[in-house]
Amino acid sequence: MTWRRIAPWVIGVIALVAIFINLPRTTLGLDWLPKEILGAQFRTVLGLDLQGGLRVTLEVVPQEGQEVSEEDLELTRDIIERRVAGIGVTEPQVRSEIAGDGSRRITVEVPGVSDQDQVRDLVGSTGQLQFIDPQGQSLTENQDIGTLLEAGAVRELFNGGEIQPGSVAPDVGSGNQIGVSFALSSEASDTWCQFTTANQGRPGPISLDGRVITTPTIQSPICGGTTIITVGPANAVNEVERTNLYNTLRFGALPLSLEEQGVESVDPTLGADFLVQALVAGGVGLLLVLVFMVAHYRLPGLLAAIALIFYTLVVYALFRTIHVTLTLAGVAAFILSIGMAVDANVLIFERMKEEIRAGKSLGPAIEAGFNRAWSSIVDSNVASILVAGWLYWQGTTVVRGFALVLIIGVLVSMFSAISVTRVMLRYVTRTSWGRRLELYHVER
Amino acid sequence: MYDIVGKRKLWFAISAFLTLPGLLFIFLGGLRPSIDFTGGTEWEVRYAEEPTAGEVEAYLVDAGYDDPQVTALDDGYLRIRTEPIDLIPPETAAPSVAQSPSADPDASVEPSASPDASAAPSASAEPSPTPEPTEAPVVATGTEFAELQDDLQAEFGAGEPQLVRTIGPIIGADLIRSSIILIVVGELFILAYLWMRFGFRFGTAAIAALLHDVILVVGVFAMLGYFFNFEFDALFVTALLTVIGFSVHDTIVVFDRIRENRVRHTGEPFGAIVNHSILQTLGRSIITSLTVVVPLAALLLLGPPTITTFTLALLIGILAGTYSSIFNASQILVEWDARSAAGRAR
Repeated sequence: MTWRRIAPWVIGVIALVAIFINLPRTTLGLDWLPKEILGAQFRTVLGLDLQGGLRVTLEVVPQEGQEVSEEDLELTRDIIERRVAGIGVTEPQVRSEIAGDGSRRITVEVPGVSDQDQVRDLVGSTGQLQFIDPQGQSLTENQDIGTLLEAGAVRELFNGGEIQPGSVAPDVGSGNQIGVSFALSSEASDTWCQFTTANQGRPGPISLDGRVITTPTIQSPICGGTTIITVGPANAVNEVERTNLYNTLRFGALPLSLEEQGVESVDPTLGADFLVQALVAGGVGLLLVLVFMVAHYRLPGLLAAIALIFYTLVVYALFRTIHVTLTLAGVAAFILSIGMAVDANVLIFERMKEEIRAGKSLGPAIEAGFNRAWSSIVDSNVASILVAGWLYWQGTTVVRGFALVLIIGVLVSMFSAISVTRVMLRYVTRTSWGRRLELYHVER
Repeated sequence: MYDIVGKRKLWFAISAFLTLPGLLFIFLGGLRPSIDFTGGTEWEVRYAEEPTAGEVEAYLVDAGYDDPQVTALDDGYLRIRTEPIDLIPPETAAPSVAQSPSADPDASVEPSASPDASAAPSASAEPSPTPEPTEAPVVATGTEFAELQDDLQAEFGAGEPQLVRTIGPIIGADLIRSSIILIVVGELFILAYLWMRFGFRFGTAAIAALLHDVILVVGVFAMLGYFFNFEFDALFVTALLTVIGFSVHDTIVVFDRIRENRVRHTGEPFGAIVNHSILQTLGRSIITSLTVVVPLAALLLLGPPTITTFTLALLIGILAGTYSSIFNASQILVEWDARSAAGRAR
């Protein structure tokens, strides 16, 4: 019987904690609390459809004879994440997933982004820089040299792997030319020194991902020191290019080649509209359910409504704690889970009424209602969790968000609808007014 | 006491009446997959001159696009769909790609190059870039789409495309496959669980009721697609699975009561027990259904248009699920019981 005694306290504490998590610190006047307590780790993560942004889906295209290893995938994911973060995007989400046909994919979600093409260029680009010995060929900018390289008509001196990580920096050169500078490893530096000494006055092209990006004329031997790739005069377009090049070189080449398979974008203002509409719709729906419960079940309905508010608070607090990405589908899942939460109460109350009609007095009828309804509640919720779990396990990103919301909802609802309602009912039926049968809307 | 079980032929007939037209339209090709499944580029836009869907479609055909589809939405907005535009092809990166991922730490340890150069870094070492205000170092993306937008705006007036989505053919094909797996395996899970908890007959009857719900929802979408160009998207599959989960929820409540009453009223005919159980749970079934239908309806009416498909599928499915849990699942049990009893008698 100890649970009976401590249950109200446990529920009260949970409700309080949930409220603290849900409300911003300033609203609560808790700014004096250290950041570690109830700080930024609790936040609402909105999906792209609710805050606008860009989602790019990339498929891994293995080169001939290449085995795609988990390490390569993780490295690729990591590099892309750092590149995107490098251009100042907050909270990019980069995930690797397995497609139904067994191929590997990487999805990149970038919230609230303005320049889509910049992001797409950045994430899809392998980022392999090559220093080319043209061997007498004249190369032009933007030329695809893949076949020339394979045929041996031009030769790779060394590649971007020889760039010293940490030496890459944005650069403003003479005449307001902007570019990216970096230092080379000693071996590559020697090669570069020999090449530039032997080829003064001739071009020394550099390619990125198989395309020539610049063919500067070598004016003096470059032995040691930094090399600069110039993008062009400082203007908005070149700034973007420079930033992309900088981030590409800084984090190195991807070990895997990627093919863009999907691009989806939502305008941020549209996303904000959707959020408002979804909140209004969800609020109206919740309110209607609350009103209905009170109207139909009277006193127990009121208690169920309170339990439902408790449920909403706790679920939202969980979303904020484990950073569930809330999408429109997630909002729908939440609304469904309200239905399921109410269902547990409906089962119990209907059962309770039956027991009263069958002649039981109120107290035993309530206990019987809870006990008898229990197996129905468990069986039906297990079935729901099975489906949701399956969706979570197998689904794509959007589907997983939906499934996770549903799972959390069902689990919390089993607690709120059963324990919370029960504790309140027990308390109420101890008072004299709480035992008046008309409050239970039973037609004998 | 109202005799639900006795009228089971009527209930089956109503189900047939509800599902058969849908099936017909499924076979007539009424289902319209969105670009999630087919691949393509899609955007929503309202041009200043508010052209009709036909005008834009004709323009796109002239511009050389295969089978563009333009649908008129509310407020002069159009949804335009074409073949996939502008996906960045895989980079045929040079042969050396896989050899040296630069996250390799070895390069960083080399001290030799930097110190001596640091005295006069930028001036001396600069490889003297012949400054050209040039092409992007990275191949520009979005060019074809941007040009098409410019052309369309020149023709039909200003309009900013929203909700631009491009899905490649591979993702689409993969989604079809994984959706089928999701639904089939999802049902198998439930079947296994029900067999375990309630035995073979109950499980099979419940699955039959679930199939009814799924066919009904898909059928309605086939009709909507046939007459109103209504599309189903990736979330539709999720909605179907959710409907399955919810419907089985309903069915289990009834079955649970049948199981309980069977123990209590041993000896009574099975049909009577089922009838009794249905009536006892009827209030709950309807109320629970209401508490889900009402918020869903709110979401359908007040919520954003992008999840209309999803909400509608859920709504239809949950109504179907409530019907089938009362009027199909348990009736199948009774029918089955009656037939096997007749079989034994013979």
